[in-house]
Amino acid sequence: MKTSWRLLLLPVAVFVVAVAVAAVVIALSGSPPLPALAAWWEGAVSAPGALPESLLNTTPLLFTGLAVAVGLLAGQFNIGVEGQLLMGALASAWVGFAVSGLPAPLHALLALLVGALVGGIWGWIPGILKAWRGAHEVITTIMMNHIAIYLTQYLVTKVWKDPNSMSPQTPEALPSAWLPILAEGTRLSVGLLLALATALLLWYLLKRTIWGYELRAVGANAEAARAAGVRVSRMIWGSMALSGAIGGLAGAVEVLGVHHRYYDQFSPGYGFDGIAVALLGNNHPLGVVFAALVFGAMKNGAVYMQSVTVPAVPREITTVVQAVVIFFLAAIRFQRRAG
Amino acid sequence: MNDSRPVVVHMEDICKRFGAVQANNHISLSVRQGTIHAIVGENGAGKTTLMNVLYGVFPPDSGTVSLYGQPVRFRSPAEALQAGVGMVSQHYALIPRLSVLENLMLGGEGASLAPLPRAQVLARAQELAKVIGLQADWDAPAGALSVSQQQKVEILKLLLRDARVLIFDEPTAVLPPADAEAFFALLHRFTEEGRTVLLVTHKLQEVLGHADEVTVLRAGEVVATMPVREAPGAEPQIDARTLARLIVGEGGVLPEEELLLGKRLDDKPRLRVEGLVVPPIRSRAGLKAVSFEVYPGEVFGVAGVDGSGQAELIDALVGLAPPTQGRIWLNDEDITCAPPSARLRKGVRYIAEDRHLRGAILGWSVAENAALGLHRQGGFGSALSLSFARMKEFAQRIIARFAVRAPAADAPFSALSGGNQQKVVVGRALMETPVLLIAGQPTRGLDAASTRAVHHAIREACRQGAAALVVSFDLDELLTLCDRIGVLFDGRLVDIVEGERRRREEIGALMVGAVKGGGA
Ligand SMILES: Nc1ncnc2c1ncn2[C@@H]1O[C@H](COP(=O)(O)OP(=O)(O)OP(=O)(O)O)[C@@H](O)[C@H]1O
Ligand SMILES: [Mg+2]
Repeated sequence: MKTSWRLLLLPVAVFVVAVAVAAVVIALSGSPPLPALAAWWEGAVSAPGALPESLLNTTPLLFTGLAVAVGLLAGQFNIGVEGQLLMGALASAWVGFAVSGLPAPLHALLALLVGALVGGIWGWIPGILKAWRGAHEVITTIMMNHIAIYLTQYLVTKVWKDPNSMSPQTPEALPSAWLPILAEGTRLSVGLLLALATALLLWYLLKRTIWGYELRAVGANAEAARAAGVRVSRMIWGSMALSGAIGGLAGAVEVLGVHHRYYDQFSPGYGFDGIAVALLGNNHPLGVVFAALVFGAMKNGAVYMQSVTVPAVPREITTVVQAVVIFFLAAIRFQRRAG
Repeated sequence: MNDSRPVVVHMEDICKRFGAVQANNHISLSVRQGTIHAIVGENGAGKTTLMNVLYGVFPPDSGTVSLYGQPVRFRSPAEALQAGVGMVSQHYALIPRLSVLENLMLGGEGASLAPLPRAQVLARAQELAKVIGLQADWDAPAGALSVSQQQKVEILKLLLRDARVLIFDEPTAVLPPADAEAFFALLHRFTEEGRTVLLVTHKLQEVLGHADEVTVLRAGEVVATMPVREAPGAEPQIDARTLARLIVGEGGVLPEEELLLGKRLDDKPRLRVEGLVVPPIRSRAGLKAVSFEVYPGEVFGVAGVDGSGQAELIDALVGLAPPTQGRIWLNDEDITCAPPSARLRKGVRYIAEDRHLRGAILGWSVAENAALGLHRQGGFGSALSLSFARMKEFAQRIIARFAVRAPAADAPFSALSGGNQQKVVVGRALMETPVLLIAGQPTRGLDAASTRAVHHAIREACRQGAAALVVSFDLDELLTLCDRIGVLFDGRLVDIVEGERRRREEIGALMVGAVKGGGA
């Protein structure tokens, strides 16, 4: 009752502070902050065609936010969502262009599955290293990110490169692998619905299944979980694999729903954005939905703001907001645990 | 009472409410310099809350605190420490992974931002350690220490900051008797130095044996404050019965002292342990070739000085530490290598000796904690439809049967007082008759009536066919409850006493290795 209000109020308050900080930064950079904020809002919500684009930006953030949240709930800080996303994206792109002869929904489904699977494996590896050898996941997932970045770069420039193009990208996926567009005249695909479904499913998994109960137990007190019969090491790699699979899905949906191919550096760091999204969403699947909406809209609105403000406010201002959110929420949550 | 001694701590008209619970209701308290002031009361009476107010953990809703006559308003434990008020909590606050020295540098509840300088801490700590009799490896992780060593580290932390007022919340709840005596010797030393001690305890003998004054709390209010003795060392002026009566109140029942022995229901052992060897976890010895049996209907006690192998025995029995040699049978089934989940399925129930470490998840609700460990037994729905409603219902049954003071079944577990948390952990294991109960310090932090209720519940389970193994440092507890008592010394089960030989002196001598046991 009272506590749940506070749970809700805190992220909102932190977000407001973050936007205020951004306004100050805008003012310092020489643009009048109020018109800039208005343009930001306009670009995110009220300009024609703004909303579907905002939702398009929301989709990958929702996936990566969920991926980070699952890890955190199990006590695993998965910083490797970016790498899992890249691997999943490339794998699904490969299924998209290399596998032919499948009917439309099946082809897309297979591509999604393979993307999730490869992302899952990419999360499972640091999971198993943690569970069996005690290697800290923060270190290993960062390493795995680097491997993923260079491996995908290599594959897309040397092995699966589109022969008809100069840039490092795969051939276009067959249309049978494309995700259907949700609304005529927009770029918004059913990927958004997939992301929302993933959030719902995850919520159910965590709150209403024994596996979810045990996952949360391991995250909250691994020693007590062990005494209660939970196989902690299994849960560690299991949660990391699930987290990675959701990260892989994020990449697959971007590829199959938006770009229809993999090209190098297509992700502006969605995996890392997921950390802020999960924090703002309080690791709750439904909270993450709202957090992803907020950040997605913000990212979209910032592009518009950049184009209409004089002098232009760079759209990277969104990272200021993200940074402030992470800074405050991490500090407050950490203090709570210590106290 | 020597009234010339100045009042050091004065709390006036303190009120503190948590939601619907009035934890402290107009409490006033004066403590004189150089005295030991005991605070007693039932589980949930408000003792810890009052001490937390004094230590600046949270502010009172109303009322004032003064120190040496000056009104103070501590906004954090750090501020309290600055003013010379320190507390050792009911649940220790050491960081297990950090070394002893690092813990000392960190100070009170992680409140001071800058740790104390290392060299300076080490020098003073070594000096003070001699005084309080702490022998510890400064670089060992704090989690590897025994409970009494951890407590001494906590005390050292306060002394390093030169605390003049020392608050102890149930300091002897898990201390073995010998360590408890040493602890009180230390308290007297502190009061002689002019320090002032506030002591929260459920053990009335400690009050009668050591306190100068006592305050009795009931349901958040002071029901009595009175002198215990004229002068330090003098005979107590009050007796345990008077105190017990004040604690439970007019309508309350005094738990009567009686033996709770039972009989074997079957000649086939329920638990059979043979030649068990477990490497050391929290003792020097580990477990060295221990063999014994526990029969249905029987409570088997395990006595021993702290660190004689109790932790290793429990861990091996519940499946948390693999033995390197030997076998464990449950009803003729070899479970030596079975994981905890398999043992739980077979009806093994475990009351963890440290509820915060292993027994519960503090951030969860009471209901979710009530299901912990039983969640796979089918009572709370299937794998894909876990029912919170049923967890709540189960928690409500525990609350009713063990008189847990909880605002609601879905209240946060951490909102329960220490003793009430313990009742949930115990109740969970005993709501249905276990096949085998492994209990470590089952009455840790419980008041007299609840202790009795838990003893009865264990005995009742055994009457229904359970077999129980109870590890306790409290010899009185073992003597009232256990049919046979095995004594661990240096990792070996030196003897099992029963019948005529179930006597304090006999067991005490075995515990320190003074006599060679005949059996085992
Ligand atoms: N943080 C909290 N939130 C809500 N209720 C609380 C909180 N802390 C204590 N209470 C309630 O206040 C009452 C007094 O608790 P307190 O911990 O002071 O009891 P206590 O006398 O120390 O008991 P015990 O002997 O069991 O340790 C209890 O009913 C408890 O449920
Ligand atoms: Mg208490």
